[in-house]
Amino acid sequence: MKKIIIARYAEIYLKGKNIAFFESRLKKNIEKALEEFNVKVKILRCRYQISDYDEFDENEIIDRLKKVFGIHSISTCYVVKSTLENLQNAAKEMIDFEGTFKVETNRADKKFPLKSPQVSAEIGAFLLENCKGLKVDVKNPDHIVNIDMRENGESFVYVKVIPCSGGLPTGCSSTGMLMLSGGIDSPVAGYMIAKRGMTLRGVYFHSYPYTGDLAKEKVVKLASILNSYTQNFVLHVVPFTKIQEAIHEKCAPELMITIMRRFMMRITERLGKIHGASCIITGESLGQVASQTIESMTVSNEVVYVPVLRPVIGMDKLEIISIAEKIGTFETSSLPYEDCCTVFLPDHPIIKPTHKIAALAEEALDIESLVQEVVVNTETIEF
Amino acid sequence: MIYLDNAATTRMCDEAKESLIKYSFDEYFNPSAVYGKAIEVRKEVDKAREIIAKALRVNVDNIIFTSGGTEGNNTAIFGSCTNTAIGSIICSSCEHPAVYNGFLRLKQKGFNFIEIPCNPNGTVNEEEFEEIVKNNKVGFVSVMHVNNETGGINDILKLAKIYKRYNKDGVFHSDGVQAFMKKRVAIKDSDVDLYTFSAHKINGPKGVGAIYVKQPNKLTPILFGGGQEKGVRSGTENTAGIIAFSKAVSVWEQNGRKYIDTFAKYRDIIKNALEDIPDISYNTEFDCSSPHVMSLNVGGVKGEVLLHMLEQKGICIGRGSACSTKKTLPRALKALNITGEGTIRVSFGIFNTKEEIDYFALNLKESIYSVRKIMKG
Repeated sequence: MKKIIIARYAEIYLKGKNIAFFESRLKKNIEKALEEFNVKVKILRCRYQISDYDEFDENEIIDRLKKVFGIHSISTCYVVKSTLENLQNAAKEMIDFEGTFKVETNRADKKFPLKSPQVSAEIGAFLLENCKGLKVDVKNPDHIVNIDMRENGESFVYVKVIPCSGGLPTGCSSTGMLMLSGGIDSPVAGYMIAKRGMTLRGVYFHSYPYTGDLAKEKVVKLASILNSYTQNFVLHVVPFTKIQEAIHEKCAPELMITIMRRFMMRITERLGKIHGASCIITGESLGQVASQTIESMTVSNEVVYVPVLRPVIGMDKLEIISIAEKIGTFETSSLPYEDCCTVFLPDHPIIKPTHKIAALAEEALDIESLVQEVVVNTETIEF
Repeated sequence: MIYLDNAATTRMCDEAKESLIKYSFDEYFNPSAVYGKAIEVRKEVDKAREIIAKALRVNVDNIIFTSGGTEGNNTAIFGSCTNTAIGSIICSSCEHPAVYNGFLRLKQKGFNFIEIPCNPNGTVNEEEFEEIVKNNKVGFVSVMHVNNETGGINDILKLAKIYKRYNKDGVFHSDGVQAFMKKRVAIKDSDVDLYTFSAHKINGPKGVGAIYVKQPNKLTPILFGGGQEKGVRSGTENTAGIIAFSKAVSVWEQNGRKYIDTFAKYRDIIKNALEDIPDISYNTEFDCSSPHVMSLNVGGVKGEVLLHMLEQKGICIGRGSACSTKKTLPRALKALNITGEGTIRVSFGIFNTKEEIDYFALNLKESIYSVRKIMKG
């Protein structure tokens, strides 16, 4: 008996005339996620068939597929020629449980002599006779044995339906620049936007020697976790020290964070322009720290033209943490290395900056040449 | 690169490297096998044991090879503390995690764990130690010989004697990982029962070490298997590592005194160079600490930033604290009340030169000035 994996999509189904674009994008993403396993990926109706893999790799393949945006659920199936005996044996192989069950048959192959309810009844009776600890419950069963009889004379037999990430396939919603610190919030913000199909490029501001390479490695690790979802994540590491030192030297201490954020925005937009990105994504959550008041965000927004998306703006820290735990970034984000914002943190940062105050302070700085220099010296890491 | 983090690990010496290669690629045979080639390897392992025993001035039968300091310490602790009837177990508050966390584990299992307070230089307070061992039935004691953070030296012979005065059946262990070949004491016929040491701190390979065990038949093994190492530590011997270890020991045996004198000079050079910089303090008195470790507090800076500034200049030093946040400050430093964020550790090795130390001292001064100009500690 041959084993395959069926991956189903959900939201793509609503795409009408564009459906082929989304389907083929998702197929490519599945292939990319599984490229080291040499699998075959075929588009069927509303789902994909993943076959020709080594059974030894099955669990790892399932784990990878769970992270591919656009896939709603997956099942491992036996594929057999549609005869009653084959279906019964395949169903028996699938039973690794005790408790109540029912058999559900979907018969697209109308040439098959038995009708769906009859197939279900025959297989159910066979299982009751040949497997221990089973009881039929058609109304509220613990497990459903699914028999999917296809028009080509083959059938898929499966039990478990494994929920996946959902969302839209990465690469179908333009590119965004994610400002990625080493904290908990920004990877979650990136995940949420990537789930809507956006390709992400991360931007990390490195303040060596004020923050060490361990802080950078932490962000690289976070980026690689995000890459396990998107498969095309790129991280830009911006050497930010010189700008921080210049702000420290020329501007009032309470404006340090405000001016720093404005520089980060400018640099991110500039990098985005080079790489064809059309928005900036940040992990800001309203009121969490001084730079995350609406006044601070307004003042940092005003130095860029592209939209700034803040998907976790209305979320509590605990809500963000629960997503970080689910997507696997929390542990890495919790490592103690400092990010560049905390190093130069003044005792009393301004909470409600204004355009006038920020612009006046920046007059002491050669903004263009500072931005240009770090953009040129930015390191790019691909995964 | 100028490497001044030799208390963390050292570069392997050529003699050790050659043995490591020879006994991994040419003479790779299992010493328990009975053909000639394997017997030759067995003889070399025996010879290595002799060299190491001689360096410690102990009998060859008392040396048990391990995979390094952590395994050695764990073997000593868990091999001695087999049931709570032995009495309380005590160690100093600034032990290395390889000892301290073993004690915490035993505490979880129901042992009464008493911590001995430390002096500010990382050594045990002898008066308090005596009070504790006098007033409690203590079955097992562990006190490190040289403190890895500060270089402070404990008089382990004296402490063992005090301990045995009140607990004659108890077991005294010392973690000698930082002290081995650097601060030598005559443990043979002393009250020290177990002494752990490791190869990679003295220019040998990583993954090999040994314990001196006064009475091997009294130590319960923690690893079971083929009965190697008198049944105390089963597992195919790390022949290449063991032989390479003995080569490194020979190098130190021959030159150790010269090395130690040189380290002391390096320490003085640095101290002199920093004399005109305000707000610098040392965590040990130089005359009662191992000269290979120098722990200093630089006021008004973060140790980690200083470390990275020096790294930019091609110099590697150790961190006194993992980073500026207090939650990651090593427990041993907290135990010593060294909570300043500007703690750094400089540790010397046999490949350092005077020119390197001069260059380091100059750059350390410069870096302290630059950091102090920009940020608060």
